[in-house]
Amino acid sequence: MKKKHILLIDDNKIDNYLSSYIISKNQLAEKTTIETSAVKALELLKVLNDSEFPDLIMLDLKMPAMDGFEFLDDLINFPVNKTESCIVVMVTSSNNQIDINRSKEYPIIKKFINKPITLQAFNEIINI
Amino acid sequence: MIERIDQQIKDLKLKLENLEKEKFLTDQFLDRITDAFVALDENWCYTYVNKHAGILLNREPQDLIGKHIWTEFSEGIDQPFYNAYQKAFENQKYVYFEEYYSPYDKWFSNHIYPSPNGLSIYFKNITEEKKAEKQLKKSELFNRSILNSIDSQIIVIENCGTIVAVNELWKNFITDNGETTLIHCNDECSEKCNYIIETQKRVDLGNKKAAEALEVIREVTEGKKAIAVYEYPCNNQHVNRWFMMRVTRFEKNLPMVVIVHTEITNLKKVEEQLLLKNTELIKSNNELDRFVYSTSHDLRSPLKSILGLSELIKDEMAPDDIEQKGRMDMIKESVIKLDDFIEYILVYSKNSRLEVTHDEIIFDKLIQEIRNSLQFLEGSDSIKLILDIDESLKIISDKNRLTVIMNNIITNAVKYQRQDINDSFVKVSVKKTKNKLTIIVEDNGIGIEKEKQSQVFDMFFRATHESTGSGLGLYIIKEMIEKLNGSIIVESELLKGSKFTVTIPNLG
Repeated sequence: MKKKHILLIDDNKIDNYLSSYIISKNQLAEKTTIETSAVKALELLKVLNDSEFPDLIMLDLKMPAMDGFEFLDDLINFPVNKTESCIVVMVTSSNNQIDINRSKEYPIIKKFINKPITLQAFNEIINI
Repeated sequence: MIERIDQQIKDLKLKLENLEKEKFLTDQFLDRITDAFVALDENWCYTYVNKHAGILLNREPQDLIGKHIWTEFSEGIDQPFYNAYQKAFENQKYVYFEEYYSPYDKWFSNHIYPSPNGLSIYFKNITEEKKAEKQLKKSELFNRSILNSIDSQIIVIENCGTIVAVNELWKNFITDNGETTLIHCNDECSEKCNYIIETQKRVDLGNKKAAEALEVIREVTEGKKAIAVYEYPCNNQHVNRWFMMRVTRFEKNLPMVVIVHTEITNLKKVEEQLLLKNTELIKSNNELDRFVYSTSHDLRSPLKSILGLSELIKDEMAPDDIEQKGRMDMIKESVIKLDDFIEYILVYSKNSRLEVTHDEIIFDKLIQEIRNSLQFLEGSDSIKLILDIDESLKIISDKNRLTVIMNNIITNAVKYQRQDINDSFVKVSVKKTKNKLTIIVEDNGIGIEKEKQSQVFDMFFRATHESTGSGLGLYIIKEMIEKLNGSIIVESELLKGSKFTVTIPNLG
């Protein structure tokens, strides 16, 4: 099922390029937004209204200034009507078991994937 | 006249009868007393020897009567007895003495009562008492020597606080501290030698350590504990010291306690240093942990980008450009190898530093996780994973380590499957016995040559030219299994398959 709005949050520009390319080529979303910092992503989310709110956030774990978990700690305080239809996929370069365990504490995280992000991975996410 | 004489004779007879009666009673009395009794006249001849004296002297009493003492017992001349008897008679003064009489090999006590008519002597065999006394003195000396040789201050107090005994070291300690109290009291008891009262005085002056110490002592004197221990600092103008006070209830439930103060300054210093070092170690361990984590992430992140890009480029290539596609695969392969290598270093570093954890492991879940991670591995769709595991199997072990171990062995089976057959399998069976867990991973893959089997767990060893790995995988899992106090063995035959048997303790 095609996503309405996918938000990519990753400080690695190449990975953002890869993800957005796969999304647009396979027409996985009506709209894609790229943010290279979690802080900026939060600022954006705050001004979006309910209909504009992303239904999928691809969130990199390790980022400077604010990491993925810190971002989530803020996101869970957003109004429920905004976040209820939104799922978060945690993306990381290293399969760290501690991170995997910690991500299980956040119900909003529906999947934890290891880079590189492939079409196959996207297809699985879209079908969640 | 005759009547009068008759009467006198009658009276005399009566008197005589009475006298004899009296003598009989006296004899009986003297025989009955447990002491030996002899009487000598002024010429040193026996006038009386009671039964007991006869026994002690090993003679019949009546045989000695009228005999001269030093004729009968010439071996006694110049013995201490001899002199004492002489002196008592000459000075006409009562003498008591105890002496060892070598001819009989016995100790005697003597009460000598002189009169101008001779001597009355009570004597008694006190050899047993003397022996016991000697033994007591010996054991007292023994105990005192031990007490004084111990490198601790020892005080024995009654439950009320009265000091019963102290050792030399305590005396020295008290004197060194310039105190005049708490040394010892012999028979009379004063407040100065009441340990509890003296300590209470310090408590009243606001000494918190004294209050705590007193609390500990009371726990034992009041019978709440048999032994109590308390560590405290003790500072005077010269030195800062640490002591350990150990309070023990006296044996056989006597209402006394033994208080032992042992200096533990050196121990405390070492303990402090150890704590400091430990804190530093924990700090540097955490730093290292963060460093390894960050570094590995930073190293792996660009690799993942390269992987993604090469995948993308390969997808967009003309389907017939096989040569270029092959080159892209080579890039991918190199990157994966490097990435694996970094992961192994991370895993190795974690294994050597992190403590073994005790997690409840539901095997079903563990295998599911491994299955998930396998699905992206090349070759995983051409091998059948067979599980022989009791689904309700639960054990306590280190989940992260066990996951890495299982993942690694199963991944090897996938990687080194035979390409020339189409019934490749990897079978995982897990058996739980009392306190052990046995995991068997068996495959029908390419196998390992006999002569190389002993080396597969060596660092950087690669058994086959088909290996694309770093040569670290089996080395690291062996390290991990050792950390879990387990073992791993391999059985294998070339082109038939390999069987890895892992045994780890169930920590539950």
